[in-house]
Amino acid sequence: MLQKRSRILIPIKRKSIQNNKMHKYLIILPNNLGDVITSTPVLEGLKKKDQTSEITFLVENGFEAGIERNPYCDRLIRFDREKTREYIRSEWQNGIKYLGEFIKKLKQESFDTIINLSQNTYISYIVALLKGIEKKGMQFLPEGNFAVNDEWSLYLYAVPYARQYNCLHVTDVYKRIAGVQSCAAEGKITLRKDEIKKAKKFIEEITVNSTSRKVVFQCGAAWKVKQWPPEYFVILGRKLVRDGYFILITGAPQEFESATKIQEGIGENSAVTTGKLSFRETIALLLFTDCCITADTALMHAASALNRKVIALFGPTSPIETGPYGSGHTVLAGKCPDRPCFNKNCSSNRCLKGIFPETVYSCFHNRFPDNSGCDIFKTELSDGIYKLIPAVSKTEQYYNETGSVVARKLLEPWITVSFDDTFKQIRSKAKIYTKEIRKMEKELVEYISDNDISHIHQYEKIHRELSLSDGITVFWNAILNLKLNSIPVLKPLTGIKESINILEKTAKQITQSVENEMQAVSR
Amino acid sequence: MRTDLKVEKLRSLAEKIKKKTGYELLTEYEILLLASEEIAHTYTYKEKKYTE
Repeated sequence: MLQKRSRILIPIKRKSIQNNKMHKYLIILPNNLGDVITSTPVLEGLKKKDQTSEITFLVENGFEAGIERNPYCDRLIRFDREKTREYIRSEWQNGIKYLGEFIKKLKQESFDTIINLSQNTYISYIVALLKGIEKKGMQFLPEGNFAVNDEWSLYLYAVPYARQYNCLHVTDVYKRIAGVQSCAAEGKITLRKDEIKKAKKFIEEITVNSTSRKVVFQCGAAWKVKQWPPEYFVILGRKLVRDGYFILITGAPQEFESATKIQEGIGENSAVTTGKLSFRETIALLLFTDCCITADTALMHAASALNRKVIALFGPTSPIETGPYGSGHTVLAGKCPDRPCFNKNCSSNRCLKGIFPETVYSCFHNRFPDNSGCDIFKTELSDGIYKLIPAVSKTEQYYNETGSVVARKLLEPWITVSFDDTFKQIRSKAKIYTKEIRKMEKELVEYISDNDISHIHQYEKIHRELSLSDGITVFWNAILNLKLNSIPVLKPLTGIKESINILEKTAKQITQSVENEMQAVSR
Repeated sequence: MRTDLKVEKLRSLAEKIKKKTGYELLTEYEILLLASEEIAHTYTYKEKKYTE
């Protein structure tokens, strides 16, 4: 069985390695398609920063469509997780050998910098086994715990705990992890000629009037609760067909039934592409269309990477985190007090049901109605930061304006924040929070001095009480916990000393993030 | 041996390794075994069937 395995390392564009000092990067993001596409600006940023560097990207089989032929990717390494899993399940000793050989080949590469952008546990184990002078993102330590040691990866991991205190798109966070935030790169998809040719031929064959303008409806999404109701697509489709447009309904093969129902509902001047084109050929289809109307999907990221006009329909996820990266796209976001809930089992789906087809139709024609029942934004990429600009009045942002800047100031202390009431409240919270973590620090210092276990109990009590906090404290606490959990678990005394350092440093960071502005104002 | 029982054996080995954490450094082989055990319990995109 093992002899039949396919090649693991597939060089795409191998340079001759003459300069031993060439910096070798390994970027790891095994899945999903959308995530892979959102990471592509990192590659461009790294390459522009150092053209002599070699960039290798590790992706799982099945998700390479988002990175294939990327001009900034020197090598693509595909990991066949499904096959590896089947080996492990059928005869685990052989499976381990198979995985071991894959890791051995990676290890021989001796990467200088490994950037793990994924949050997959199995990848953290693999990263632990790789050689790398510098490792970013999560990795497993031989001491037995998971660790995140770079500040922006800590930020990325803290976001889900306090989403309202994050105003950065995931691509902007990825760029910061890689240290290329100053690069204005947007997403990048490079298609092959044959993919474009096939898409063009497909369109020519199915459209009666080849001069009619075309619109793509991406009918599905990875989670059912992210899908816009099919009946809404039908209503919108009929309106656009009346305006002279031809509708192409795309989706994964599993969405064929849903796509067909939408097509039947729209009737003439519409066609289903689902199951007839690969994902990359579907992306190529976008080159011949005016607009892509989609939920939060991989095709949305692909369309924005191709600079096609996107109308994105957001429900349980957050467009500030994963909206179409680029300027001039339209984002419609359903209203719900719990948004963004990220709840895959929501039964009401009121957010997406509140984005009416009439509203999407108006937006398609660049009319942005007030009181439509949903929020409407235009996307903007300026100064290297992705923003959602309200297109109508009474729009609710996804984040706390002042709080999110203070959270960012932890790592970028030079940015400025409004000295408003929210800031004053946050500053008061910071004083209380830092006082508490200084108390924790004191307990640990005293434990080292007198070895009295009651200090550890007191430390844990304060720590537990902090976890009950609310507001921006939740964000600070997530960062602190991630840092403390990243300390190698062996050698307790060393661990305690390291905890003292972390508490000290975190208190200073938080104090600095709220004091700089105060000093600036008082000056 | 049925597949699930084979994976169960791997799982019990992984559990033993996890119990060592905090007391001694894990070897590369032990970490490889943990990675394998983790992969054994993952799902493919198709298996999730868009519902997860």
